[in-house]
Amino acid sequence: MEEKWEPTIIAFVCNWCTYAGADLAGTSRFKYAPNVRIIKTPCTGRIDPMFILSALERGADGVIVSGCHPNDCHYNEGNFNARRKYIMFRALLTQLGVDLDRVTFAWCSASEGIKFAGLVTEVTDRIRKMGPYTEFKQLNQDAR
Amino acid sequence: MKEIIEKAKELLSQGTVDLVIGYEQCGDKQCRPLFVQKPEEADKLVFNEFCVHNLATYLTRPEVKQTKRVAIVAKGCDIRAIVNLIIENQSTREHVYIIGMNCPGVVSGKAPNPTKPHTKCQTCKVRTPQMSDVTLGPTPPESIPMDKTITHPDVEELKKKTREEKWAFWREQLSKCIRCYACRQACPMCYCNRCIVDLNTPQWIDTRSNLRGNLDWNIVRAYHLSGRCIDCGECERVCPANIPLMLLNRTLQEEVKEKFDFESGYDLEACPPLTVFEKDDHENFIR
Repeated sequence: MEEKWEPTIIAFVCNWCTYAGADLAGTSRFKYAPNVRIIKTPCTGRIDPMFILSALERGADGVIVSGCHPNDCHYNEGNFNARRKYIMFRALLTQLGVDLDRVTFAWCSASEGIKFAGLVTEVTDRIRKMGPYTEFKQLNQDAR
Repeated sequence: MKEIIEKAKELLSQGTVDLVIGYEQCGDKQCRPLFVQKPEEADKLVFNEFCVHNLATYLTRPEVKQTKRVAIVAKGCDIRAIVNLIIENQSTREHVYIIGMNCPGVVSGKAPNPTKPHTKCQTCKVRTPQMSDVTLGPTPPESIPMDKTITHPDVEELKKKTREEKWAFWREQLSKCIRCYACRQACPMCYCNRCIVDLNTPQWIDTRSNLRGNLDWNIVRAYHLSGRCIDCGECERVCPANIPLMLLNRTLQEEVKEKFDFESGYDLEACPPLTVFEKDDHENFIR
């Protein structure tokens, strides 16, 4: 019997806001899709655009990048720097034809457990409808 | 070009500089970089429409950095690179003696048969050098005004494609890449002692020439040049696989201009846009 395909979502989150938000979602017993793999980083500023590429190449069907709201950054300016980086990175990926509907950016604070749970579920549902990201999986296979 | 030779001899014999970087003729339709250390070697210096190379790329080489002071024959577009290197603390204004050249435009296409005028020359804003210690050469045709926003037709064409078409296009183009890294070596803005592609703990980019590695490499290079690329087109010129690398760089130049109202290489006091931020930077993709 063939197993039903389920999307793999990688979430890069910052230690101080979104990770705590995810923690809150857990302790508050909010249900959210189990497809997400959370990777904790010190700050949104640490989430190098290479992380997103690597995730997609290593089999992720969708990526979530999330951190503190503007003005809330634990290091004051990490998320502002990250925002500029991602403005440029998205422009680049758009022109390369990478499917940006699969990469979701969000601000999610430590108190927004419910927002995090909703975000993960919504992204998972969306990616499930879109199907596996074969273009990048193909790259990986060709590279073997 | 007699005045360059005289200038170089003067600078070297007076001891103002220890090295002059310029061009020499090699073949009918080709020039090559020339490094002059003694006044009597300066006779080979030339300047014509075949002087395409951006010599600013040598300023970050250790051998050149060790000199007391270096003179460099530079077109307006090359001076953009020098400005950027100074901004990024890779050189100082005092270390470089800029022999600015009035430039009517250079050729593009590969030797031995270059034909077309270079794309960058059609949108040139600095035919008269914007910053130099001495400016030589006859007065060039008028430049495009500094405040004019440039749009490149090839970028417009790329933007019109659908996502699938873009992906197919780049798949085809980037699969030609042989990972010779000529783009990196020729680029005046690529000066890291250890390039990300040479790092192996962790290894971010597959060093084999497969599409995944090629895609990563070219994405990373374009991304690292965002807000820094000075549109000299050297990467594209030296690419043995004829990949339209400037298409990516120009896309990002236009984006930087639109989002942050910045063009690199014109202003010594400017901050590169990816080293600073505004609290109200506008975006519409973060929820």
